[in-house]
Amino acid sequence: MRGPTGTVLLRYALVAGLLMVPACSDDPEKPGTLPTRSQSPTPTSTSASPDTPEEQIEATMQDYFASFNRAFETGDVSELRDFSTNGCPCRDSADRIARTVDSGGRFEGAEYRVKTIRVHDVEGNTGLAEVVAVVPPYKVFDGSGKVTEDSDGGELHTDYSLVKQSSGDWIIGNTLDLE
Amino acid sequence: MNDHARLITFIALVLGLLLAGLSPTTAQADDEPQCSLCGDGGAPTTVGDQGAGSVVTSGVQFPGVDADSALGKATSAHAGCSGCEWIISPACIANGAEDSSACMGATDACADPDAIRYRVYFRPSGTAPWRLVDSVCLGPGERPASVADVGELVRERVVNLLPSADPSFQPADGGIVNLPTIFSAGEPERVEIEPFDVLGFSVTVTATAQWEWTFDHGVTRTFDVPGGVYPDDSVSHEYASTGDRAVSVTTSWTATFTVDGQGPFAVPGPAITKTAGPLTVPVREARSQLVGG
Repeated sequence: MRGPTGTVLLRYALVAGLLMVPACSDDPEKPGTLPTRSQSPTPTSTSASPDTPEEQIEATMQDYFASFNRAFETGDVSELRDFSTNGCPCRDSADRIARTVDSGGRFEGAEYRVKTIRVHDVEGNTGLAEVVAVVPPYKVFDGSGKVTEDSDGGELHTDYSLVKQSSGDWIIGNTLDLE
Repeated sequence: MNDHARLITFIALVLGLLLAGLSPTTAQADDEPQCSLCGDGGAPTTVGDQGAGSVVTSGVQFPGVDADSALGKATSAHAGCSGCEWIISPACIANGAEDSSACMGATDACADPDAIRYRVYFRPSGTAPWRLVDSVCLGPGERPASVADVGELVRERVVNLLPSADPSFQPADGGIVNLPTIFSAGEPERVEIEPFDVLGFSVTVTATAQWEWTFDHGVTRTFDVPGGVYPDDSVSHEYASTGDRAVSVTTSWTATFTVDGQGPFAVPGPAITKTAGPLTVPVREARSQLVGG
Protein backbone atom coordinates (compact mmCIF):
# COMPACT_ATOMS: atom_id res chain seq x y z
CA MET A 1 0.00 0.00 0.00
CA ARG A 2 1.34 3.38 -1.06
CA GLY A 3 1.74 5.88 1.81
CA PRO A 4 0.71 9.56 1.65
CA THR A 5 4.26 10.69 1.01
CA GLY A 6 4.50 8.50 -2.06
CA THR A 7 1.22 9.91 -3.40
CA VAL A 8 2.44 13.47 -2.96
CA LEU A 9 5.71 12.54 -4.65
CA LEU A 10 3.78 11.18 -7.59
CA ARG A 11 1.75 14.39 -7.79
CA TYR A 12 4.89 16.53 -7.73
CA ALA A 13 6.48 14.34 -10.31
CA LEU A 14 3.42 14.80 -12.50
CA VAL A 15 3.53 18.56 -12.01
CA ALA A 16 7.23 18.55 -12.80
CA GLY A 17 6.51 16.53 -15.91
CA LEU A 18 3.85 18.96 -17.00
CA LEU A 19 6.18 21.86 -16.37
CA MET A 20 8.67 20.22 -18.66
CA VAL A 21 6.22 20.06 -21.56
CA PRO A 22 6.77 23.60 -22.74
CA ALA A 23 10.47 23.05 -22.48
CA CYS A 24 10.17 20.08 -24.80
CA SER A 25 8.23 22.17 -27.28
CA ASP A 26 11.31 24.34 -27.64
CA ASP A 27 13.47 21.36 -28.34
CA PRO A 28 15.33 22.25 -31.51
CA GLU A 29 15.60 18.60 -32.44
CA LYS A 30 11.86 18.11 -32.39
CA PRO A 31 10.70 16.84 -35.76
CA GLY A 32 8.14 18.77 -37.74
CA THR A 33 9.58 22.19 -37.06
CA LEU A 34 11.17 22.86 -40.41
CA PRO A 35 10.63 26.35 -41.75
CA THR A 36 7.27 26.87 -43.34
CA ARG A 37 7.53 28.02 -46.91
CA SER A 38 5.32 30.77 -48.18
CA GLN A 39 2.56 29.42 -50.30
CA SER A 40 1.34 32.76 -51.56
CA PRO A 41 2.96 34.07 -54.72
CA THR A 42 4.39 37.54 -54.62
CA PRO A 43 2.24 40.24 -56.18
CA THR A 44 5.01 41.16 -58.54
CA SER A 45 5.60 39.06 -61.60
CA THR A 46 8.46 38.71 -63.95
CA SER A 47 8.42 37.69 -67.54
CA ALA A 48 10.21 34.53 -68.59
CA SER A 49 12.99 36.48 -70.24
CA PRO A 50 13.07 40.01 -68.90
CA ASP A 51 13.90 42.52 -71.60
CA THR A 52 13.86 45.93 -70.03
CA PRO A 53 16.28 46.97 -67.31
CA GLU A 54 13.32 47.34 -64.97
CA GLU A 55 12.23 43.77 -65.61
CA GLN A 56 15.77 42.52 -65.28
CA ILE A 57 16.23 44.24 -61.94
CA GLU A 58 12.94 42.93 -60.64
CA ALA A 59 13.81 39.41 -61.73
CA THR A 60 17.19 39.74 -60.03
CA MET A 61 15.56 40.77 -56.79
CA GLN A 62 13.06 37.91 -56.96
CA ASP A 63 15.94 35.52 -57.47
CA TYR A 64 17.89 37.17 -54.66
CA PHE A 65 15.18 36.56 -52.10
CA ALA A 66 14.54 33.05 -53.37
CA SER A 67 18.25 32.42 -52.88
CA PHE A 68 17.99 33.93 -49.39
CA ASN A 69 15.22 31.52 -48.48
CA ARG A 70 17.18 28.55 -49.80
CA ALA A 71 20.17 29.67 -47.76
CA PHE A 72 18.07 29.70 -44.59
CA GLU A 73 17.24 26.08 -45.24
CA THR A 74 20.53 24.76 -46.55
CA GLY A 75 23.04 27.13 -45.01
CA ASP A 76 24.76 27.45 -48.38
CA VAL A 77 25.25 31.15 -49.06
CA SER A 78 27.56 30.88 -52.05
CA GLU A 79 24.70 31.55 -54.47
CA LEU A 80 23.44 34.41 -52.32
CA ARG A 81 26.85 36.06 -52.28
CA ASP A 82 26.98 36.06 -56.06
CA PHE A 83 24.17 38.60 -56.07
CA SER A 84 26.23 41.37 -54.47
CA THR A 85 29.61 43.05 -54.41
CA ASN A 86 32.00 42.21 -51.61
CA GLY A 87 31.54 45.71 -50.23
CA CYS A 88 27.75 45.61 -50.15
CA PRO A 89 26.41 45.90 -46.62
CA CYS A 90 23.92 43.22 -47.60
CA ARG A 91 26.80 40.75 -47.41
CA ASP A 92 26.42 40.91 -43.64
CA SER A 93 23.17 38.95 -43.96
CA ALA A 94 24.81 36.19 -45.96
CA ASP A 95 27.78 36.14 -43.62
CA ARG A 96 25.47 35.80 -40.63
CA ILE A 97 23.71 32.80 -42.16
CA ALA A 98 27.07 31.24 -42.90
CA ARG A 99 28.37 31.84 -39.38
CA THR A 100 25.26 30.37 -37.82
CA VAL A 101 25.25 27.28 -39.97
CA ASP A 102 29.02 26.78 -39.90
CA SER A 103 28.89 26.70 -36.10
CA GLY A 104 26.20 24.05 -36.15
CA GLY A 105 23.28 26.41 -35.72
CA ARG A 106 20.18 26.75 -37.83
CA PHE A 107 17.22 28.94 -38.66
CA GLU A 108 13.65 27.92 -37.95
CA GLY A 109 10.82 29.68 -39.76
CA ALA A 110 13.15 32.24 -41.32
CA GLU A 111 12.17 33.42 -44.76
CA TYR A 112 11.33 36.49 -46.79
CA ARG A 113 7.89 36.74 -48.33
CA VAL A 114 8.31 39.45 -50.90
CA LYS A 115 5.32 41.79 -51.00
CA THR A 116 6.44 44.42 -53.46
CA ILE A 117 9.41 45.26 -55.61
CA ARG A 118 9.38 48.78 -56.95
CA VAL A 119 12.11 49.36 -59.49
CA HIS A 120 12.93 53.03 -59.78
CA ASP A 121 15.50 55.57 -60.90
CA VAL A 122 16.95 53.30 -63.56
CA GLU A 123 19.61 55.30 -65.34
CA GLY A 124 22.30 53.88 -67.55
CA ASN A 125 23.83 50.90 -65.84
CA THR A 126 22.36 51.66 -62.44
CA GLY A 127 18.97 51.24 -60.90
CA LEU A 128 17.20 50.91 -57.59
CA ALA A 129 14.73 48.38 -56.25
CA GLU A 130 12.66 49.23 -53.22
CA VAL A 131 11.65 45.94 -51.64
CA VAL A 132 9.06 45.25 -48.99
CA ALA A 133 9.10 41.70 -47.64
CA VAL A 134 7.32 40.11 -44.72
CA VAL A 135 9.48 38.27 -42.24
CA PRO A 136 7.35 35.73 -40.34
CA PRO A 137 8.19 34.73 -36.77
CA TYR A 138 11.43 32.79 -36.66
CA LYS A 139 14.07 31.44 -34.35
CA VAL A 140 17.80 31.17 -34.64
CA PHE A 141 19.58 28.37 -32.84
CA ASP A 142 23.27 28.15 -32.12
CA GLY A 143 25.33 25.02 -32.32
CA SER A 144 24.32 23.87 -28.85
CA GLY A 145 20.63 24.12 -29.70
CA LYS A 146 20.04 27.28 -27.70
CA VAL A 147 17.79 29.93 -29.16
CA THR A 148 19.90 32.99 -29.87
CA GLU A 149 17.05 34.95 -31.40
CA ASP A 150 13.34 34.36 -30.96
CA SER A 151 11.70 36.94 -33.16
CA ASP A 152 8.09 37.80 -33.82
CA GLY A 153 9.18 38.73 -37.32
CA GLY A 154 8.36 41.96 -39.00
CA GLU A 155 8.97 43.60 -42.32
CA LEU A 156 12.01 44.32 -44.41
CA HIS A 157 11.86 47.65 -46.26
CA THR A 158 15.08 48.19 -48.10
CA ASP A 159 16.29 50.08 -51.15
CA TYR A 160 18.73 48.05 -53.22
CA SER A 161 21.14 49.78 -55.57
CA LEU A 162 22.00 47.60 -58.53
CA VAL A 163 24.68 47.93 -61.18
CA LYS A 164 24.66 46.22 -64.54
CA GLN A 165 27.65 44.02 -65.33
CA SER A 166 29.31 43.56 -68.70
CA SER A 167 27.75 40.09 -68.72
CA GLY A 168 24.33 41.72 -68.68
CA ASP A 169 23.60 40.57 -65.14
CA TRP A 170 22.64 43.03 -62.44
CA ILE A 171 24.49 42.96 -59.14
CA ILE A 172 23.60 44.60 -55.82
CA GLY A 173 26.20 47.23 -55.02
CA ASN A 174 24.67 48.86 -51.98
CA THR A 175 21.60 48.80 -49.79
CA LEU A 176 19.83 51.08 -47.39
CA ASP A 177 17.19 50.03 -44.90
CA LEU A 178 14.51 52.66 -45.33
CA GLU A 179 12.87 51.96 -41.98
CA MET B 1 15.79 15.56 6.81
CA ASN B 2 12.28 14.14 6.79
CA ASP B 3 10.38 13.01 3.69
CA HIS B 4 8.55 16.30 3.39
CA ALA B 5 11.73 18.28 3.47
CA ARG B 6 13.30 15.93 0.93
CA LEU B 7 10.27 16.41 -1.28
CA ILE B 8 10.51 20.19 -1.15
CA THR B 9 14.21 20.01 -1.92
CA PHE B 10 13.47 17.71 -4.87
CA ILE B 11 10.81 20.05 -6.24
CA ALA B 12 13.07 23.05 -5.79
CA LEU B 13 15.82 21.22 -7.64
CA VAL B 14 13.48 20.26 -10.48
CA LEU B 15 12.13 23.79 -10.81
CA GLY B 16 15.60 25.23 -10.53
CA LEU B 17 16.88 22.96 -13.27
CA LEU B 18 13.88 23.78 -15.42
CA LEU B 19 14.31 27.50 -14.96
CA ALA B 20 18.04 27.26 -15.49
CA GLY B 21 17.46 25.29 -18.64
CA LEU B 22 14.67 27.45 -20.00
CA SER B 23 15.84 30.93 -19.24
CA PRO B 24 18.80 31.14 -21.55
CA THR B 25 16.90 29.59 -24.40
CA THR B 26 13.77 31.69 -24.28
CA ALA B 27 14.64 35.04 -22.79
CA GLN B 28 16.30 37.65 -24.93
CA ALA B 29 18.54 40.40 -23.80
CA ASP B 30 16.99 43.83 -23.94
CA ASP B 31 19.55 45.03 -26.42
CA GLU B 32 19.00 42.10 -28.77
CA PRO B 33 17.32 43.07 -32.02
CA GLN B 34 13.65 42.21 -32.28
CA CYS B 35 14.06 41.13 -35.88
CA SER B 36 17.58 40.99 -37.16
CA LEU B 37 16.31 39.74 -40.52
CA CYS B 38 14.14 42.83 -40.99
CA GLY B 39 16.95 44.69 -42.69
CA ASP B 40 19.55 44.09 -45.33
CA GLY B 41 21.64 47.22 -45.18
CA GLY B 42 24.53 48.52 -43.17
CA ALA B 43 24.99 51.75 -41.31
CA PRO B 44 26.66 54.37 -43.45
CA THR B 45 29.90 55.77 -42.13
CA THR B 46 32.08 58.13 -44.14
CA VAL B 47 32.03 59.61 -47.59
CA GLY B 48 34.68 60.10 -50.21
CA ASP B 49 35.08 56.81 -51.98
CA GLN B 50 32.99 53.91 -53.03
CA GLY B 51 33.53 52.24 -49.72
CA ALA B 52 30.95 53.97 -47.61
CA GLY B 53 28.15 56.45 -47.31
CA SER B 54 27.66 59.40 -45.07
CA VAL B 55 25.13 60.79 -42.67
CA VAL B 56 25.01 64.51 -42.21
CA THR B 57 22.57 66.64 -40.28
CA SER B 58 21.46 70.25 -40.04
CA GLY B 59 21.04 70.67 -43.74
CA VAL B 60 23.37 69.62 -46.46
CA GLN B 61 24.94 71.32 -49.45
CA PHE B 62 26.19 69.81 -52.66
CA PRO B 63 28.72 71.61 -54.82
CA GLY B 64 27.54 72.55 -58.26
CA VAL B 65 24.04 71.20 -57.89
CA ASP B 66 21.40 72.83 -60.05
CA ALA B 67 19.03 74.75 -57.79
CA ASP B 68 16.09 73.55 -59.89
CA SER B 69 16.98 69.86 -59.56
CA ALA B 70 15.21 67.63 -57.06
CA LEU B 71 18.32 67.69 -54.92
CA GLY B 72 18.70 71.45 -55.18
CA LYS B 73 15.09 71.99 -54.19
CA ALA B 74 15.29 69.51 -51.32
CA THR B 75 18.45 70.98 -49.87
CA SER B 76 17.00 74.44 -50.18
CA ALA B 77 13.68 73.46 -48.61
CA HIS B 78 15.33 71.79 -45.63
CA ALA B 79 18.47 73.88 -45.37
CA GLY B 80 17.61 75.23 -41.95
CA CYS B 81 16.21 71.98 -40.54
CA SER B 82 18.15 70.99 -37.46
CA GLY B 83 16.52 67.57 -37.03
CA CYS B 84 16.70 66.51 -40.64
CA GLU B 85 19.08 63.77 -41.67
CA TRP B 86 20.67 62.98 -45.00
CA ILE B 87 22.51 59.98 -46.32
CA ILE B 88 24.78 60.20 -49.30
CA SER B 89 25.20 56.61 -50.31
CA PRO B 90 27.36 55.35 -53.19
CA ALA B 91 25.47 53.52 -55.90
CA CYS B 92 27.97 50.72 -55.58
CA ILE B 93 30.36 49.94 -52.77
CA ALA B 94 33.63 48.49 -53.92
CA ASN B 95 35.82 46.36 -51.73
CA GLY B 96 38.81 45.18 -53.69
CA ALA B 97 39.75 44.98 -57.34
CA GLU B 98 36.97 42.57 -58.16
CA ASP B 99 34.40 44.99 -56.80
CA SER B 100 35.92 47.92 -58.65
CA SER B 101 35.17 46.12 -61.85
CA ALA B 102 31.70 45.19 -60.64
CA CYS B 103 31.01 48.80 -59.69
CA MET B 104 32.20 50.19 -63.01
CA GLY B 105 28.63 50.74 -64.10
CA ALA B 106 28.12 53.20 -61.25
CA THR B 107 31.08 55.24 -62.46
CA ASP B 108 29.96 55.08 -66.07
CA ALA B 109 26.71 56.72 -65.03
CA CYS B 110 28.55 60.02 -64.50
CA ALA B 111 29.79 62.38 -67.18
CA ASP B 112 33.02 62.91 -65.27
CA PRO B 113 34.96 59.61 -65.47
CA ASP B 114 36.41 60.23 -62.01
CA ALA B 115 33.06 60.98 -60.43
CA ILE B 116 31.03 58.49 -58.43
CA ARG B 117 27.29 58.21 -58.46
CA TYR B 118 25.68 58.71 -55.07
CA ARG B 119 22.11 58.29 -53.90
CA VAL B 120 20.85 60.99 -51.62
CA TYR B 121 18.30 59.98 -49.02
CA PHE B 122 16.50 62.28 -46.65
CA ARG B 123 14.28 62.06 -43.61
CA PRO B 124 12.77 64.92 -41.64
CA SER B 125 13.50 63.29 -38.29
CA GLY B 126 15.43 60.39 -36.84
CA THR B 127 12.33 58.20 -36.68
CA ALA B 128 10.86 58.88 -40.12
CA PRO B 129 11.56 56.48 -42.99
CA TRP B 130 14.26 57.42 -45.45
CA ARG B 131 13.21 58.50 -48.91
CA LEU B 132 15.33 58.88 -51.99
CA VAL B 133 15.72 62.49 -53.03
CA ASP B 134 17.99 62.27 -56.01
CA SER B 135 21.14 60.82 -57.48
CA VAL B 136 24.22 62.95 -57.83
CA CYS B 137 27.66 62.50 -59.36
CA LEU B 138 30.46 63.79 -57.16
CA GLY B 139 34.09 64.04 -58.20
CA PRO B 140 37.00 63.16 -55.94
CA GLY B 141 37.25 66.71 -54.59
CA GLU B 142 33.55 67.32 -54.34
CA ARG B 143 32.13 66.43 -51.03
CA PRO B 144 28.73 67.19 -49.69
CA ALA B 145 28.91 69.16 -46.53
CA SER B 146 26.50 69.98 -43.79
CA VAL B 147 25.74 73.54 -42.88
CA ALA B 148 27.41 72.77 -39.56
CA ASP B 149 30.60 71.73 -41.38
CA VAL B 150 30.58 74.93 -43.41
CA GLY B 151 29.71 76.97 -40.33
CA GLU B 152 32.75 75.75 -38.41
CA LEU B 153 35.06 76.79 -41.24
CA VAL B 154 33.22 80.08 -41.67
CA ARG B 155 33.83 80.85 -38.02
CA GLU B 156 37.57 80.27 -38.39
CA ARG B 157 37.69 82.63 -41.36
CA VAL B 158 35.39 85.26 -39.95
CA VAL B 159 37.44 85.73 -36.80
CA ASN B 160 40.17 87.24 -38.95
CA LEU B 161 37.87 89.07 -41.34
CA LEU B 162 35.90 91.04 -38.78
CA PRO B 163 37.27 94.51 -37.99
CA SER B 164 38.98 95.31 -34.73
CA ALA B 165 37.89 98.26 -32.65
CA ASP B 166 39.81 101.53 -32.84
CA PRO B 167 38.35 103.42 -29.88
CA SER B 168 38.49 107.19 -29.54
CA PHE B 169 36.90 109.87 -27.38
CA GLN B 170 35.85 113.51 -27.45
CA PRO B 171 36.88 116.04 -26.40
CA ALA B 172 40.18 114.83 -27.75
CA ASP B 173 42.20 116.32 -24.90
CA GLY B 174 40.08 114.66 -22.26
CA GLY B 175 36.69 114.49 -20.63
CA ILE B 176 35.19 117.14 -18.38
CA VAL B 177 33.68 116.38 -15.02
CA ASN B 178 29.89 116.17 -15.11
CA LEU B 179 29.77 116.57 -18.87
CA PRO B 180 29.40 113.72 -21.34
CA THR B 181 32.56 112.30 -22.77
CA ILE B 182 31.72 110.88 -26.19
CA PHE B 183 33.17 107.55 -27.27
CA SER B 184 33.45 105.74 -30.57
CA ALA B 185 34.50 102.14 -31.12
CA GLY B 186 35.60 102.98 -34.65
CA GLU B 187 33.65 100.09 -36.09
CA PRO B 188 30.55 99.88 -38.26
CA GLU B 189 27.26 98.69 -36.83
CA ARG B 190 27.00 95.97 -39.41
CA VAL B 191 29.63 94.20 -41.46
CA GLU B 192 29.01 92.39 -44.72
CA ILE B 193 32.01 90.35 -45.75
CA GLU B 194 32.67 89.84 -49.45
CA PRO B 195 31.82 86.35 -50.70
CA PHE B 196 34.55 83.79 -50.13
CA ASP B 197 34.96 80.08 -50.81
CA VAL B 198 34.44 77.35 -48.24
CA LEU B 199 34.58 73.72 -49.37
CA GLY B 200 33.69 74.83 -52.86
CA PHE B 201 30.67 76.85 -51.77
CA SER B 202 30.27 80.58 -52.08
CA VAL B 203 29.78 81.94 -48.59
CA THR B 204 28.69 85.42 -47.54
CA VAL B 205 28.76 86.62 -43.96
CA THR B 206 26.83 89.36 -42.24
CA ALA B 207 27.76 90.34 -38.70
CA THR B 208 26.29 92.69 -36.14
CA ALA B 209 27.81 93.57 -32.82
CA GLN B 210 27.34 94.73 -29.27
CA TRP B 211 29.93 96.86 -27.53
CA GLU B 212 30.72 96.60 -23.87
CA TRP B 213 32.56 99.64 -22.66
CA THR B 214 34.51 99.82 -19.44
CA PHE B 215 34.56 103.55 -18.72
CA ASP B 216 36.15 103.25 -15.35
CA HIS B 217 37.17 100.61 -12.87
CA GLY B 218 33.99 98.57 -12.27
CA VAL B 219 31.89 100.75 -14.57
CA THR B 220 30.70 98.88 -17.66
CA ARG B 221 27.84 99.52 -20.04
CA THR B 222 26.69 97.68 -23.13
CA PHE B 223 25.58 99.42 -26.34
CA ASP B 224 24.19 98.09 -29.58
CA VAL B 225 25.68 100.99 -31.49
CA PRO B 226 29.38 101.68 -31.94
CA GLY B 227 29.15 105.36 -31.01
CA GLY B 228 30.62 108.16 -33.05
CA VAL B 229 31.83 111.70 -33.04
CA TYR B 230 30.03 114.83 -31.85
CA PRO B 231 27.09 115.45 -32.14
CA ASP B 232 26.55 111.64 -31.97
CA ASP B 233 26.42 111.06 -28.25
CA SER B 234 24.89 107.58 -28.44
CA VAL B 235 27.86 106.26 -26.47
CA SER B 236 28.95 108.59 -23.75
CA HIS B 237 29.80 108.69 -20.10
CA GLU B 238 29.88 111.41 -17.47
CA TYR B 239 32.71 111.27 -14.99
CA ALA B 240 32.11 112.68 -11.52
CA SER B 241 35.72 113.37 -10.66
CA THR B 242 38.99 114.22 -12.27
CA GLY B 243 41.82 111.82 -13.06
CA ASP B 244 42.99 109.45 -15.77
CA ARG B 245 40.66 106.61 -16.66
CA ALA B 246 41.59 103.32 -18.33
CA VAL B 247 38.86 102.78 -20.92
CA SER B 248 38.45 99.61 -22.97
CA VAL B 249 35.82 98.23 -25.30
CA THR B 250 34.93 94.63 -26.10
CA THR B 251 33.09 94.01 -29.35
CA SER B 252 30.92 90.90 -29.49
CA TRP B 253 30.11 89.94 -33.07
CA THR B 254 27.15 87.75 -33.91
CA ALA B 255 27.34 86.54 -37.49
CA THR B 256 25.17 84.73 -39.97
CA PHE B 257 26.20 83.23 -43.28
CA THR B 258 24.68 82.05 -46.51
CA VAL B 259 25.86 79.07 -48.57
CA ASP B 260 25.36 79.37 -52.30
CA GLY B 261 22.54 81.80 -51.60
CA GLN B 262 20.83 79.60 -49.00
CA GLY B 263 20.36 80.71 -45.46
CA PRO B 264 21.05 82.73 -43.45
CA PHE B 265 22.48 80.34 -40.88
CA ALA B 266 24.00 81.34 -37.57
CA VAL B 267 27.75 81.04 -37.33
CA PRO B 268 28.14 78.31 -34.71
CA GLY B 269 29.60 78.90 -31.31
CA PRO B 270 29.58 81.87 -28.97
CA ALA B 271 29.82 85.45 -30.16
CA ILE B 272 33.21 86.40 -31.58
CA THR B 273 34.75 88.92 -29.20
CA LYS B 274 37.59 91.34 -29.67
CA THR B 275 38.84 93.75 -27.01
CA ALA B 276 40.62 97.04 -27.64
CA GLY B 277 42.31 99.19 -25.05
CA PRO B 278 42.92 100.22 -22.44
CA LEU B 279 42.80 103.79 -23.62
CA THR B 280 43.85 106.52 -21.17
CA VAL B 281 41.18 109.18 -20.91
CA PRO B 282 42.13 112.21 -18.81
CA VAL B 283 39.21 113.84 -17.03
CA ARG B 284 39.47 117.48 -15.98
CA GLU B 285 37.41 120.03 -14.22
CA ALA B 286 36.01 122.88 -16.23
CA ARG B 287 36.89 126.33 -15.00
CA SER B 288 35.13 129.53 -15.82
CA GLN B 289 37.35 132.05 -17.48
CA LEU B 290 36.59 135.64 -18.22
CA VAL B 291 37.32 136.56 -21.74
CA GLY B 292 37.84 140.17 -22.60
CA GLY B 293 35.85 141.63 -25.43
